[in-house]
Amino acid sequence: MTDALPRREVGRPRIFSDEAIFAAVFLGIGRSGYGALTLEQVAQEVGCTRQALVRRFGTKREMVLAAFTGSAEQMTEHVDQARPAGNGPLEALRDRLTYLPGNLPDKAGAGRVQANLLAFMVTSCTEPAYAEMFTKWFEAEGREIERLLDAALAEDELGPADTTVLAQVILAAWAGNALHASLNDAKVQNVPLSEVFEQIIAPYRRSVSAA
Amino acid sequence: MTETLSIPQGEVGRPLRAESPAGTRHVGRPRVYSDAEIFGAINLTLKEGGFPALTLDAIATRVGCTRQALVRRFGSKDAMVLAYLENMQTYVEASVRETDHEGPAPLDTLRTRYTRPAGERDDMSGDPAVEANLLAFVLTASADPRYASIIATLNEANISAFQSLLDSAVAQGELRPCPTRAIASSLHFVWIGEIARWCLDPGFSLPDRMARAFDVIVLPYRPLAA
Repeated sequence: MTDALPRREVGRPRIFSDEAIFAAVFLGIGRSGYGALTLEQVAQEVGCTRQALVRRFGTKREMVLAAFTGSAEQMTEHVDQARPAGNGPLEALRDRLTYLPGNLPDKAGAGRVQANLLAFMVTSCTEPAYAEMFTKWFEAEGREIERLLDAALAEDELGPADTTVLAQVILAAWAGNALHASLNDAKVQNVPLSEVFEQIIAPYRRSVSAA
Repeated sequence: MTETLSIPQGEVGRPLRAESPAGTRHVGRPRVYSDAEIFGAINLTLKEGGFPALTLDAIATRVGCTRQALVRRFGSKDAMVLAYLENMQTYVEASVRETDHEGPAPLDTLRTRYTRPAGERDDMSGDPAVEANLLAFVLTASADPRYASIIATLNEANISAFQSLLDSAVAQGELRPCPTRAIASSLHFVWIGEIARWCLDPGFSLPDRMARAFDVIVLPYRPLAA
């Protein structure tokens, strides 16, 4: 979906993509938190007017909902592209998990941006629409993880395991690791998510569980 | 990850004298506010409104003193929050020391500690909305390296406590030799992750989730049947 600025200029109006607007939304929340985010700030970042954003989304709340919903859809699309021929399901799952935090915008200041985005997420329970959106995202993500674990079971990469429970534990580990990583202090080395994944999955790998 | 009001607070710095309302003066010794009262007020403010609500004026109002009295004691809001976090660190470290790491059933001790309901824990609130504010405070406050250092120490204390019990479980034959540090880290990450999810969806049972995670992560390392 795209939108045009008012036709005051000569020639074709400039088009602003949803992606550019959503990136500005993430950047704004990431830099200074949800409370400080304004339509003016996003408009300035994108290079359009506040009115253009109002016409497209209506309100700040709807714009933020659209940004996070769009991001979740992109992540789901990514998983289906992230399994090249020859990659096993567990390898694809590990790649997917390590992609999730990296999908956040503004990778340069990732720690602080991620902390502010996560702070927004955990406090969104006061706004039912946001809480429902994040809860649905977690549910969808859990199903995707379970789907890959089921494939690993079918392809004999995993020994006997309750993939529903295992998927939820892996998802919680991802969320906790992201929170921990965003604290961004050198005093405690953060454990890479790929290592956490390997630690949790190791006892269930076929080569181990069959031993 | 965060502390509740029930935690005993240590005395730090000078006692704070109560300010008299304009035009009145107390007779006799002025009322003295302890750090415990001030840290309790900080805790309550963070629970209700999160980090944005934490101002010197808000704390002064709760305690019943003036903003200037808080400035005189701590120097600034940042220094006051730092004292609050340092006090929390002292408490958590004492709590870890008090855990019976060498007891007869370390795995049971760890499981009980890991799955305890939020409302019965010293380090959590039983209300997910409150816990969300406290979690957001930790995330926001970590922008300041001084706060981040203490928060990192608190996280490390938690992981170390898990690891210590896992090491005891290995030593006592409850678990096979296993990577206890990595397992402790996984337990910690899952714990934080489930708290975050609980904040969004208070409908699910946190103790059940923690029990399930404990079983998935730790039980595969029990001794193999002969």
